[in-house]
Amino acid sequence: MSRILVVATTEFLTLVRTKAFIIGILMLPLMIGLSTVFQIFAAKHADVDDHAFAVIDHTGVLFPVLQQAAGEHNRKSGPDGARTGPYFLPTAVDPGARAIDDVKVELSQQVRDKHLFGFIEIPASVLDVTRTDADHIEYYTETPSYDALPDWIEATLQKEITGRRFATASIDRRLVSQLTRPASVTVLGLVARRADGKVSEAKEANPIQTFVMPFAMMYLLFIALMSSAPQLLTAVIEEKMSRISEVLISSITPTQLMLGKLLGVAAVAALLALVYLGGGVYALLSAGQADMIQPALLAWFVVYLLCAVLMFGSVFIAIGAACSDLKDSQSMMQPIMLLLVLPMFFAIIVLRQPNSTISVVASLWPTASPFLMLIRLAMTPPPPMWQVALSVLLTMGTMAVLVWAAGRIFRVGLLMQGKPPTLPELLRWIRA
Amino acid sequence: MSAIEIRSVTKQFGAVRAVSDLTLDVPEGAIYGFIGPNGSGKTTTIRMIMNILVPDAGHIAVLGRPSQSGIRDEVGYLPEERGLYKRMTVRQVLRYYGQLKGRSVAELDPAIKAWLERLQIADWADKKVQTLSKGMSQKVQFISTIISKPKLLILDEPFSGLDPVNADALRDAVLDLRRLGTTIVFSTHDMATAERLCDRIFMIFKGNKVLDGTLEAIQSRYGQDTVRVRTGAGAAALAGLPEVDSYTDVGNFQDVKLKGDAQAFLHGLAGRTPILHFELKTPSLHDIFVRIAKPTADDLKPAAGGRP
Repeated sequence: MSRILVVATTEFLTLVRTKAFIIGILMLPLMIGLSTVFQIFAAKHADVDDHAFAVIDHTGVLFPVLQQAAGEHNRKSGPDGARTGPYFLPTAVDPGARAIDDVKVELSQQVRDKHLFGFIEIPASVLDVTRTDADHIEYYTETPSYDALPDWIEATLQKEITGRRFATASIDRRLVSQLTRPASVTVLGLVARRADGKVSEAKEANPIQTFVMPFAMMYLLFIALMSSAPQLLTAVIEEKMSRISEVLISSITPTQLMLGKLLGVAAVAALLALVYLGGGVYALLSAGQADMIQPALLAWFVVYLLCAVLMFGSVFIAIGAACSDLKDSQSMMQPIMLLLVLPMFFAIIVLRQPNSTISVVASLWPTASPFLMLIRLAMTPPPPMWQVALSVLLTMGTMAVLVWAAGRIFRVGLLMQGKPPTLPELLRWIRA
Repeated sequence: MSAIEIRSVTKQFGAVRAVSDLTLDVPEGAIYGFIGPNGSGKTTTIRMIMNILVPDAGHIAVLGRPSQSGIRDEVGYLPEERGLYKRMTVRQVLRYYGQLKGRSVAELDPAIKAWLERLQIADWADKKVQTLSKGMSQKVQFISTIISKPKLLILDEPFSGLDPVNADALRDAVLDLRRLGTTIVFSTHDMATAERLCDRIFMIFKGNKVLDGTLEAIQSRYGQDTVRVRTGAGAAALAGLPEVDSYTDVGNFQDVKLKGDAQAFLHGLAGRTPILHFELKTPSLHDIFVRIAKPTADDLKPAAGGRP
């Protein structure tokens, strides 16, 4: 046991002292921070351009409204030089006696020449109150991906057109809004009678808690796993390449060596989790969201992180032992990466229907269990306890088998140089 | 008691029999030299002693216990292919290797200091291994093997690639350890080192034991069939003499292996050229090695199958 600890301590210190680890630990908060800052910056500064567009108004009454609304919009975007949004600059185009197609061709050329951003054609029929079919305002542009302008036009004209139609039909607008008042569904938790006899108020379902939290937990697990377990692959291959392994197994058994390494890496993962979870808890506390912290869920996170690290760690060790350089290991990594990414796709199914047969089976499947059972634990109602216990048991059992098999591969693969073994050869090593 | 006891051990790799029915005793306190051409089974034998490979048949006892049991703490092993953690410091590496043998840091540190000083690399104790020269890292590897004060030391090619000064330093260290009672087994391709250091020599060739005993015993078995001559005509004078089996031309001397009577050879040679030097001698370990391991035409065909 003491030898396992010696290996574990050395492995832990070696991993923690590397630059890669420091970078890895800073990477997540750095990326979250950078993307937040970037999004705020982008929202404020990305679109401060002039967007001039031409309006062919067959109704004859809507252009002035559009022009006035554009004026208000531009004022909200701030004064020139300190803009926080785009300016929309409509110009009326009167086709007069010319063919409408000639006008459109000419305007299109102006868009290509960058004098205009786009142009719209408002048919006269939009104000017709006798029709029931949908009407279309045509928006022509070279840049269809930019949707702020058409969205604004649609919102502005929709409101104006509806108002005018009601006026034409002599219907009071206020009456319409009174009669079409929405009755939406609010999602609530359950109620219970409290000790004082009153009924507790049901809590409104928090979309962050119901959807974001489970996903965040799963991704955190994935990141903590991926920044620790694959290091075992590199470490074992490095030991093989620099001919250290033979010295090591003349001192301790391959099983001791493997368990020591797994323990060391599990400690690294636990440290990562501590840093990330600590940061998350601190962030929630300082945002006044203390009721979103669920201690039981944090404990399950640690349990499943350890399960995942020990299980995938032993796979990585086995691959490392079977290969003699990093290049060989790449092709053997692919199926493992697939196993790791698969739960991400299943997560959505599990989130929608946590108690369906497919969700239960998927969350008990050992390589997916740490991710998917964690999602189910983050949801309400939590899965039945026997399923949680079974998933931990299955994961641990798989880990034990993998550690054993990896130990066999390690022992044989250690002295092998040259081409990586095929799968049948690996199975023979395990049985040997 | 024997430090190592090998009884009828056989190891097969696919179609290749790497070690065949080998029996060998290494007495306690001895320096035992393992010699043999590349691929003859030396490393396989050593790995079986270390329980890194398991024999197909036979039985090995190390320090009185079966090799499968936990004898690792009392055995120091320097493999032929060896390395160190590049990113650790010299001190960290030595502590780690010592701790893996069950020694405590408190126990190890004075020994680390003493050995680094003795081999003149004390200044490098806290430098990373990747900054060391090849010779220095070989010294560190040697120290890592003996830092746990093993009772049995197994060194696979310990002196290869070292300059004469460093090789001498390590040789002296090995002799010191032997004086303290350590049993030492080492394999080497350097016959002069084997002759100088070893009490007993074991030679393995194609998986079979071909020599085992003290140097004198081995040499006397090969008899005094070698003559060193120096003549006016040099090697040319030897041609066609019926007693000459083969000879090695060293320039000023010729070492002649005889198949007939030495006196008859002397007479025949004296009739051809003036003799400046004529000495009956025992064959050197080098000569014996070459006589056994000289490749026959059969050996030069490419072998089927590899070896690990």
